[in-house]
Amino acid sequence: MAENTPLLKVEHLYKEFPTGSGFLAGKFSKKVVSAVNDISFEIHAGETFGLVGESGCGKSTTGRAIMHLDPPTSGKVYFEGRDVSKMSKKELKDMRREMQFIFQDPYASLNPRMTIGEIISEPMVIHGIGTPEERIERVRELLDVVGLNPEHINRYPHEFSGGQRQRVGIARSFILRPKLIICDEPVSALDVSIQAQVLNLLKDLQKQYGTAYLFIAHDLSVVQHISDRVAVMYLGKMVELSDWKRLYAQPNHPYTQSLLSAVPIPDPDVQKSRKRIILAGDPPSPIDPPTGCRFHTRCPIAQTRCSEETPEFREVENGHFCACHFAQPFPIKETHIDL
Amino acid sequence: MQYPLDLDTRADECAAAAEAPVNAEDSNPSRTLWGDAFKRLKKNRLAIFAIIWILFVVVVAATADLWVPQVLGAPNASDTATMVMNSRLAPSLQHPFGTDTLGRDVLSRVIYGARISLTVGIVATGISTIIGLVLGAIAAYYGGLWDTIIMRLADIFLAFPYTLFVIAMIAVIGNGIQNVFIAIGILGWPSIARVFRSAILSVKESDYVDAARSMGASDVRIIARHIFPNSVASIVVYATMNIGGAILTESALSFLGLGVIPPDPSWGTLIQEGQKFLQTEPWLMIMPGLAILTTVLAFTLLGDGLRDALDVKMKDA
Repeated sequence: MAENTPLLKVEHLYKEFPTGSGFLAGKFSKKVVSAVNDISFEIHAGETFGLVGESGCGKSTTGRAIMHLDPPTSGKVYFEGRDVSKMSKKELKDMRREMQFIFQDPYASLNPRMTIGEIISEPMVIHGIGTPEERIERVRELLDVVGLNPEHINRYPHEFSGGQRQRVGIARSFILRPKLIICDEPVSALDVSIQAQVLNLLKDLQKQYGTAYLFIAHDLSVVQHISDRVAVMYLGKMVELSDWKRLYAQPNHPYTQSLLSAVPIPDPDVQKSRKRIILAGDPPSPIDPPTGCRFHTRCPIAQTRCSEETPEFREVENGHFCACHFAQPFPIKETHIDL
Repeated sequence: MQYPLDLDTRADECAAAAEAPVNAEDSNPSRTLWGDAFKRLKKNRLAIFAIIWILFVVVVAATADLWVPQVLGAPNASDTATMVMNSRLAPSLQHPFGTDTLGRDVLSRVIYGARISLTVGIVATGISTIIGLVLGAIAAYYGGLWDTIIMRLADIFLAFPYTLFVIAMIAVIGNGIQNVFIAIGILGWPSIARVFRSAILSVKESDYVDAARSMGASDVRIIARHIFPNSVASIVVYATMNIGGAILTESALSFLGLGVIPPDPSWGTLIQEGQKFLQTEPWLMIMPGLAILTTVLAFTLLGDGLRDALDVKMKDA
């Protein structure tokens, strides 16, 4: 791998789903849900890339498309410089050794009929790595690393709490020492106290193994805790991308600004004196997205141009991208702010 | 602008409190799923009664040739010399269920009837289960057009009154025990196909199947290790209950004279023969009726118990 080849490169990724279901779906109606629309980004080895947005904005779909669980409608995904869509079945399987997935729901992502030992060692079995004894040894090691009792190797998932189950999922994703792990909201189903522990565990494991993360979340404080760079998505499009310090200190896109203003601050005085940007209405349907800038229907600074012209995803500063005609640093004009 | 939401502090505060040990007893070693299920089943008293009753009926029916003719008399004996003397005797030590018009021992006939009822129940359910599993699996895996064709066909089958449909089929292919197997077996598939299809569909969409796919597992592995073990329980339960249903259908057919051909005994024919004497010798009808009732009930209770036992989420309740 060349020095500057990114680990993962996503170019103009589109994912559309036909509406309706059954065997006639999509044959008569041309309507599609445009879940992911022209997304491009890169992830470098050992980096954590946060992807945030509200539910339904296409962040999970992006993760699944990269993993080829739902192959993208168009666009390219390069893993270590190789085009994933052109891979043979065998190459795809080899790639899946290097790219793992952590699921959101720790109750649904573990097969209830398998012991956690079988669950964690399954990637090794699938890729034919190690003898049964070596696998057990490795599982015990990893159970210890993720903070579970290695003696529990023969227990079933239902005997564990949500946080413990997510640790099992994490152990499974790490057992092959992959280069990239796609974490699809790995903590959003957990209690806040457990969230912090699991995030710290992910950080520790990253330090230990040098794994890169694509970290998908809807909670900015969670992303802030773990990410090097953060991208914000709205309705299938990326609206802003920057390293997290700059993004948090100087959000350029009005959507990012409103998101950040919604993060609660555990200090009543500060909280009271803050100006919150409250967006009106719900996000529009991705079946029939607004013309021009997709955010213009809810944007506090929208103008006629916004509904006519799709803003370019441009670099406003070095390494800081934003898709807004009127991108400007925080704070935006007082008159548009609703208390 | 600062966001002082420090997760590290939170973590430290909560580290001690959270993640309590799983269970106090740490001593349970490796356990298999079916072993666990059996343990739970053992705690269900009704299911245990049901198993004992079914085993009892099976053993008695299977060993009937060895002792029943000697002790009670052959089920189809018709000795013209004693026929009148022995006709329709009340239950006694020698004939616990009494005798019928032709002087034959009713218990002996009920025992031989059990052979037919159990065989019909198991074979017919076997046929429906195999057809149902294959069609249900095709509908769920391939989806689309296959799903539509198979499931609409199932809807059409289910739209006919079941017993009437079986009678119509027997009328076409003729009566006799094999045809009863075939008719009940073939017409029973739609509900099994539906149950299996929905079980597979719910498992197919689950995260752990996605997880296996994302690891690069082959289709064969996904089906064998993930989809099948998680969808087969519903079929075991459904098939068990279905045996009782098949026994009932066979009895109904025989009662109507469309099933087993006399003089061979079946519970349905026994009831049909006995109903003429309901007011004077009620045991002729009640005894085979009780045999049907207890056996069908036992299969239903066993199915119920299995459903609870196979549900892993029930833990050790």
